[in-house]
Amino acid sequence: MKKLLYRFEVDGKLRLSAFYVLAGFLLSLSSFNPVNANDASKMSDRTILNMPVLEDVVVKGTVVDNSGAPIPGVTISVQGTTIGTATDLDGAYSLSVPGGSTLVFSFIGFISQHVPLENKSEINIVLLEDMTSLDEVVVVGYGTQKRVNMTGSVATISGNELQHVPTNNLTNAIGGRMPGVIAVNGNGRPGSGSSLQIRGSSTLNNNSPLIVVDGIVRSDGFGNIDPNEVENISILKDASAAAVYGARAANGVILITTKRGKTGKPTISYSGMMGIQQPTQYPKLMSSYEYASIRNQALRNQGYDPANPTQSGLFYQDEDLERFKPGITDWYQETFKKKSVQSHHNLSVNGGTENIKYFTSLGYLDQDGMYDNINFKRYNLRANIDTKINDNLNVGVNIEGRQELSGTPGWDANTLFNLVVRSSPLKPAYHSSGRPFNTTGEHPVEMIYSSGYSNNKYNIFQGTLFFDQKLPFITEGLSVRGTGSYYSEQLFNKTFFTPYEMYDEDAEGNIINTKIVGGETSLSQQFQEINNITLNLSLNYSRSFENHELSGLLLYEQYGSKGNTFTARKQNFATNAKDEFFASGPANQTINGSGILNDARRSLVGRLNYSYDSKYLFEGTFRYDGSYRFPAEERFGIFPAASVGWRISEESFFQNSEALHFINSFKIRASKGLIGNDRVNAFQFVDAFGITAGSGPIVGGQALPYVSYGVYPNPNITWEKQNNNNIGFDALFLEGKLELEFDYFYRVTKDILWSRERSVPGTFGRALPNENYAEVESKGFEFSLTHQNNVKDFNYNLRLIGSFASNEVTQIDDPANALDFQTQLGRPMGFRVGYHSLGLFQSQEEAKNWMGGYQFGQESLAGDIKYADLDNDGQISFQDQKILSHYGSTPRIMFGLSGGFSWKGFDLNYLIQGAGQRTLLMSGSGRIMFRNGGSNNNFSYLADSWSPENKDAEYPLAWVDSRAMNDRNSEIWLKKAGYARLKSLDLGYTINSNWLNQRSIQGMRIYVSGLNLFTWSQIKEFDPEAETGTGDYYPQQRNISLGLNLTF
Amino acid sequence: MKPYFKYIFSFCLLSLISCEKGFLDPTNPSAITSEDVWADQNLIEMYVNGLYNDRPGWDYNTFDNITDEARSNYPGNTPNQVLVGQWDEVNNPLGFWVYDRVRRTNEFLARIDETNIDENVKTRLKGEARFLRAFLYFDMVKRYGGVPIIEKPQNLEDDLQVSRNTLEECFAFIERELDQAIGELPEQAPRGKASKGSAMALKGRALLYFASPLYNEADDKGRWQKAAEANKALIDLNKYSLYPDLTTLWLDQGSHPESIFEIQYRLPEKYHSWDALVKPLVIANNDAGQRSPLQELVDAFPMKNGKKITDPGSGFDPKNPYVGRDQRFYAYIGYNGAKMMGTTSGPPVKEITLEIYRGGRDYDADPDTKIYNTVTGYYTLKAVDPNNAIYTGGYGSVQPYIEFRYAEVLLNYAEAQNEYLSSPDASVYDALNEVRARAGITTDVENLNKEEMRELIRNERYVEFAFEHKRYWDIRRWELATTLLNGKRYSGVFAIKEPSGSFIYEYLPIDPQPNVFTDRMYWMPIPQSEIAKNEKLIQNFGW
Repeated sequence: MKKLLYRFEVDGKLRLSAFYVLAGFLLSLSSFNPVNANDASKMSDRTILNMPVLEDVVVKGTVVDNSGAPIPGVTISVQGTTIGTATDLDGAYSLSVPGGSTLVFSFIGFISQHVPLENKSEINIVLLEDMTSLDEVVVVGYGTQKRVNMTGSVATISGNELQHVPTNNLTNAIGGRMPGVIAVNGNGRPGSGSSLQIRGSSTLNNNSPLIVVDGIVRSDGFGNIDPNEVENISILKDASAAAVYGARAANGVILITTKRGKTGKPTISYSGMMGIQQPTQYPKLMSSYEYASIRNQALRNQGYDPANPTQSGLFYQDEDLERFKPGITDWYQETFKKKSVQSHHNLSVNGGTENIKYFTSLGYLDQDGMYDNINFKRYNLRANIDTKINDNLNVGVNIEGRQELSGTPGWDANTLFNLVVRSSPLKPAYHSSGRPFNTTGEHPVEMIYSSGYSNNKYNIFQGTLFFDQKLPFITEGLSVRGTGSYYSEQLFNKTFFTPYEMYDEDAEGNIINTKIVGGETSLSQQFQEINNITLNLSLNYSRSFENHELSGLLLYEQYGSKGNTFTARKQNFATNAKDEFFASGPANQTINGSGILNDARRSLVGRLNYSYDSKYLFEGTFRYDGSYRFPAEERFGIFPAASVGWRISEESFFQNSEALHFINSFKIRASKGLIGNDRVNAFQFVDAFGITAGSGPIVGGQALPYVSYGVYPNPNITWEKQNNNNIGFDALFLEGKLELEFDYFYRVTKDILWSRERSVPGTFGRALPNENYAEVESKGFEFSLTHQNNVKDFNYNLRLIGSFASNEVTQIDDPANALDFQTQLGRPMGFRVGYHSLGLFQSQEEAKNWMGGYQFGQESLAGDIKYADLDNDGQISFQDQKILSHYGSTPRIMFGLSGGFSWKGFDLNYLIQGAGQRTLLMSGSGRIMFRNGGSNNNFSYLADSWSPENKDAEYPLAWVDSRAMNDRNSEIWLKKAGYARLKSLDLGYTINSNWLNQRSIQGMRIYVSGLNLFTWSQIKEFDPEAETGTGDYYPQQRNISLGLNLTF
Repeated sequence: MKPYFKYIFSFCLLSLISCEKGFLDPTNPSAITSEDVWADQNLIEMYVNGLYNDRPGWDYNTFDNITDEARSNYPGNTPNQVLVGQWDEVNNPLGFWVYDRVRRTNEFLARIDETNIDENVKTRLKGEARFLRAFLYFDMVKRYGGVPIIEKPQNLEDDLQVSRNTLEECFAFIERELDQAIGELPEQAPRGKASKGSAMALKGRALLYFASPLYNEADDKGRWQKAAEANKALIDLNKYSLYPDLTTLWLDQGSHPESIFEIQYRLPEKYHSWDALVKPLVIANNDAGQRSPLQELVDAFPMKNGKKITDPGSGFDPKNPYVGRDQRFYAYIGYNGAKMMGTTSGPPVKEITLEIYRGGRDYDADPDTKIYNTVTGYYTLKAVDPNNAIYTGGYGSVQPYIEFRYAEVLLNYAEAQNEYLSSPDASVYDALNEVRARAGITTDVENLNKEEMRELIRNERYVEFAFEHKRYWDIRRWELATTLLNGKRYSGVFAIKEPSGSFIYEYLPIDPQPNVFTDRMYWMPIPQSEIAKNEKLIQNFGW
């Protein structure tokens, strides 16, 4: 592994030089004026009126897809004749046709184009992928199916479409593009992605979907797979589709399929982009003047008296305030850069003969962050090879290697964002001597440059070997398949943490005091490795008899995941010059480590598909699953599902009806199944004790080790079970120009593993285990409406998707004596509770007259939040709470409008993504001003706080630190966070020219693309996708990139 | 069938079938089982070690800043919220509903008898667990009054809706358990572990509380008598004595005559923040000035001659208020002109002379940093390690938290005995004078009536145990908290430096808002979440 990685880095350098060569190409192109299709057509437009031409002409050109890659095998025919040809391996064609005819370019999976010849001799075409194709082959669990025969609910997206999103993380690319996917991009940290849910939440536990890459369940997610490696993504949403993953399918399954080699001469593709990023939005901080004057106001509000000499020193005097007006320090500006760069390059080779096909790809991503010394680099390597040993046996191997390198200063990004808010804007960052100014607290800028580093190296390797042996000597259509896969991930972290210095200087610039921040220099190293082994063996059968189509699968699978972790830390460094363990002494050193057990399961999977006359479709599946998380008696669960489909449009009454002729295809689907969830802590059925060696009680000057028990054991713990129902239809109208898919689902998750902490009295005294106890109903629908058309050589498509998912807790352990707002039964998960705000007290008199002048036992002041006495007991207390919102941070509505145009060489793709019914609760530094005794700065929106001069303020009166009365959840702090944003926009131009062809460049596309370009948002304080309402987080980024695709 | 296919096929099948047997029954790599624990003497000892972790030690900054002892400088932090009455049944930073810790002791006591370990060890461990459990119950009862007594680990099938026992039942349980622990515990134990004396000291404290006005509504004199006897028994053990030096009392890690039970610390495993929080900014590392002694406390320290500063002939000079006080004053209080040691960033430490006056470095020279300096005009020296050079924020201090020290036993005894008798006897004077003599007071107390003696003992506890997290509980059990706190604003000193170099001292209120302590606060509310879960738990009056 180590050797491989080393080579990997060398490859990185090689590839970099390849990039320079390509950049050179680009430069030379810019000074060259190719006669491209565009200019040629303009010229002919002018001449056509005078010179109608009827004799045969030779027309030639190339056909590429919208990433610029040539498409071999495209059929070119002359409308109304039998004249035709096909493109060669380079996507080129040449054909002699009658003048004035119309050429039809068609290829399976792409939208056909009709191009009138007019007077052109060269016609270059960009074919767009057909998004509605009924012939599409869809990857499903342990196999593939034709979309036309599918009875389950599956959303798909092609890798080609994903490549138009200038993001570094695949998880960011599917929200708004796939119906049923709820995606929230919580922060913009380099290397980070979105959190995903399929159809919202269905359990009180982990709601994240199962990730399967090329048939193998993966524990590392899929966000960091290079989009250029991806052939397509399928999302299995209902029981029918997902039940083959039985126990882990309740939250949906995301299947990633990577590209494989295609027969033909080698195609080398390069794609690269470079771009800049900047935050979409970050709340502004108070200026020096705002900070000082509002703090004075806050202290006065609080009862501090400028006339009391013990307190007057807290106030800034008028002359101080004048001095602050120009601003002393804006720590945000000092600490963060305005923009940062990222680049992404990929080189792939694809080709093969009939007997051996290969796809290899090498990718490199480099993303900088909002400050120096934060960076994320990723190297992706893949080789997928298929060999045909003989007519009956195919053997293949998939190799994937990935390295992610992330580096930050000694302090984490979250700390920095937090400290930028915490730093006083009245203190300069640096003395005029250049020495860091002693802020008395922390110094965010120095923390970036002088606090050491924390580097993560994360390597993953996956090797899969599989075979497919047809068994015609037993019976036609029978085959046996087997897969063995080894996955390994290694995380190495090295953190060298050095203290930094700040100085007090006298008027002459001499140091009078040095403050060292960060304690002692320390070095920590952490190593963690996890190995997964997946083995499966299956018997497959697929055959047609007249009108009957039958296929079946029986599969055995086992999956195990184990690992180890080891950490060590040393202090006591003789010097900061050497960041290695040997350079430190023995004091204060710690070592720790443990084995890790992630998973162990054995399963039997079966599936039967039957269709009669392509009209009546049936599918039945089951999975018998055993999980190590449960005791032997409760370990195995069986998860069956069945689904049916009826293609009404194939019925003769349908086809004979004139009125229904506008409908080309119509299918109704329904499915029902039971799927499971076991993602809870293992070993809850045994009474387990942990050993802690350090940090125990100190006795006689020595730290004693101790043991302590874990959760109270539950010997009966077993699977969560979800009864999953889906009904939907697929319809195709107007010769395929319009497609509508609709799904409605209804799920009941029973036996949800839930610890009854809320109802078992604390006097029981022990952490409770998960019990199969709670129940949640969830339902919703999603649709996708696709329109595509071409008018002459102008192609466009449009897709609107919408998802709605809601849920309700139907069994839960509400406490026996609970007040209404404390109960969860009958309510959705994640609802928000708080007080009902009646606005702010506008005068002292109003405050005095409300509830006797007190709320929560504290005297109300003008500018405090006035709360409603919901229980009518004449006082404001914790009982006066209610449900403020039925939805929380997970949006219930997700929609996307995506589309593309292509015209001549140009193409444009966009996605507008949005979410609705989502709330954000402002908290922490998003809500509380002047924390840490007044020394912290605040976000400037909080300056709109109540004072006699600012009576229509949005926020209550200023206060130094939390004022308990106002620091409570209410409508004042709960913001709706629905939004719509132009998530991505991509404009490209495909150049086809002889000049390029002569240099054996078959296709070339240049493009500019952007991510998060515009946002319409209900919340103005933060980015609407912010994961929490504290404000001090790494903000989402807007990207603008320039890119190039080249095919050789 | 082609031959190689047979090989591949059988190889694959074999590899699947021959997988390890316990594939679905792996051993948990990060835990041991209950059976392992109760079969091994070392592990059983380690279980009891864990119980000691449940004992709180130095408090961050709450308990000393919510009475008439000191103030924290951060306006919105916990102690300042508590001072203005911002705590309740939902959010109670003073709460202690610790049945999880109780259960750990219960599980031990329920299983230890079946184990096969050395009998002497078994007896000692039982004594330790019993002492720790009684201590947990005492800490709950002093807050909430009667609480449910749970002595055996419950099963989920049991009736979990338990009722509160009465206050009397709880104190009786605590006393009974401690009597048993006194019999089980050894005379000698390493510092940090419980000995016979530890259990006796807890018994003395518990019975003193039980006799005090808050817990003794009927004013049962017999309770005072029992409290006096319990403390006397420990005095008569003749094992403990007062440590001579008040500045190193908390720093001496050797054998300690005064420490009866303590929580120890050691870097890097376990530490607290005592040294870091109390210093002025110029020698502080991040946190600073979070425990500023109030003028009222400063005024409570007697003169070296034993007189109150207000007594005629005390010799107190308002122009030089810090001259001629007892040794505790100098050991505990950092006043304008006093010396204090510390560092902003690691060794070496430097000594500064405190400049606490208008425009002074350690007071209000800069409105930006005033917040890090004293709010009262004083700093805390008590128990601070002057040579500690590595404190920062919540880190770096290791002096033990002495939970029971002999001075408390003496003053417990003096108080109980004085309350029991109609007028104090010689033993009361002896106990009191012993404590005062250690503080360098040159004259013994004489000729006081019962009420005068009560006042003096209370004042003695006020100064002797300042910042030892005891005052808050004392003023509650004496039912003085409403009088001392509610509606009151406490004071600090404001010093002005004269051109001559001398100072003018002014005393001004420093609490921005009046303090709140209402009657219902004497009994803390049982956590609302517990009331919601258990219909049989009756909430305390007023909540």
